[in-house]
Amino acid sequence: MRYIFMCRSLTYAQSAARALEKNAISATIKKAPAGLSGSGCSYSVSVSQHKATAAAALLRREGLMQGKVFLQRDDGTFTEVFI
Amino acid sequence: MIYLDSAATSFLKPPSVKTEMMNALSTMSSPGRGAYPAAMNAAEKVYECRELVCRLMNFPHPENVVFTMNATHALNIAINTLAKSGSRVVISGYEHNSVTRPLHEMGAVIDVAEGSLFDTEDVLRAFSEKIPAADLVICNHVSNVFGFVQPVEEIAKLCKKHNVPFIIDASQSAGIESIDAERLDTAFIAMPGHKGLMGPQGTGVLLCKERPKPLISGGTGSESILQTMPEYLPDAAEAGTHNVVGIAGLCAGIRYVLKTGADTIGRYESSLCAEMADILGSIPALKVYSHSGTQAGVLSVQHESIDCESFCEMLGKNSVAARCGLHCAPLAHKTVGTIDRGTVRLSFSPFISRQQMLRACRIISRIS
Repeated sequence: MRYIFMCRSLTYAQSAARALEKNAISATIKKAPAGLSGSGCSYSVSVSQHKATAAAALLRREGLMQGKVFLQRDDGTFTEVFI
Repeated sequence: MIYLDSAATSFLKPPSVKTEMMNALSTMSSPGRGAYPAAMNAAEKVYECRELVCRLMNFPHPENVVFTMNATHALNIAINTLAKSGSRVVISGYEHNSVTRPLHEMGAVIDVAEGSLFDTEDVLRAFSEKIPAADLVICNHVSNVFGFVQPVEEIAKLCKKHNVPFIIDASQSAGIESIDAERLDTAFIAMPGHKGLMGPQGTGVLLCKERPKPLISGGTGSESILQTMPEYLPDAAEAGTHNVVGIAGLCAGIRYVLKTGADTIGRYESSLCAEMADILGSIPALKVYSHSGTQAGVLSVQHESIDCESFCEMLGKNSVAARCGLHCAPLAHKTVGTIDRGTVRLSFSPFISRQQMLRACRIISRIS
């Protein structure tokens, strides 16, 4: 399972991914999965399940937590989560 | 050719600029429009360039680095954000048409803080008198005609004291003078990518502390469902496909500046300029506009009997590239009293050797 942090733009996704990588949290930038953004084209940052809480705390601290967070299950479904 | 027109564009560039651009052409598509490798290569390059700009200028927010077509484009965004018809805008007596024309166009009230050439105290005095009643202040860091280094740090402090937004035009200083954007803390800093930053033409940068009003609207690869531009940077000011090839070249240019040091480049250019001014100053027929200490690597001269256009033509025939006329800065010429004839401008780069400068002096001496 992975956690998907929605970002308001590609640049913010890049800033978020850079901040996470600097803190040893592996992050992957992806186009936002279908139906999650609500406003058309969007990007997201994906992190592993066991790093999600640390990632959320870091992004909040850096002012880079700007969208919803989703849990992506192995079967491909998404659930909004609050962490 | 001895290229002494770097104030117009950095014709002489680090070879890595071309290499990066060629690489971009074959490996990068459009950033923010997909997530396949070529799109992400482009996205990575564009973001890398934002980070390099931040490192060079001590600017904390890569998201607030906006890419533009050139400095004029960047200045237009900044001016259209902070000024409107009737705004009282205080500018220095050395501004370029890229500042004065947009202000004229929108009907702003232009108030020129006239200070004598190479006299930073006089410039500061003029600004300090006018800033308290200003809606906006704009000043170039270095005059594109005379190389006059203006006291932008002190002007920024005055603006902050009186709570007046300040736009710096760093067209002739980015990559050549030290710029600490965080310390300056101004609303906007505009610069070209193709001059001191050594990138290709078609690149420019706007550092934004304020959120700019979009000058053009269109696709940003974000919030596509909405018919309004995104409110956040950089998307708010970057409609349309990026000049990825240009930005890749700009990355290489900035890396060269970071490695060499903007201060080192500036000192080298200033020393060439000062030595040339000394040599040309001994030619009785030439008037040389120079001053050690407050002049970057841009030198203006006038011949007492040969008009600037003919003089430049003669230089060109002798393989010296220089620019004559008003240099798109009639206000600067008016301030100094050279508006009737213009000047011949000789401007330097780190890729001009002392030997080339001395050879140019000999050619000028022969012509004179």
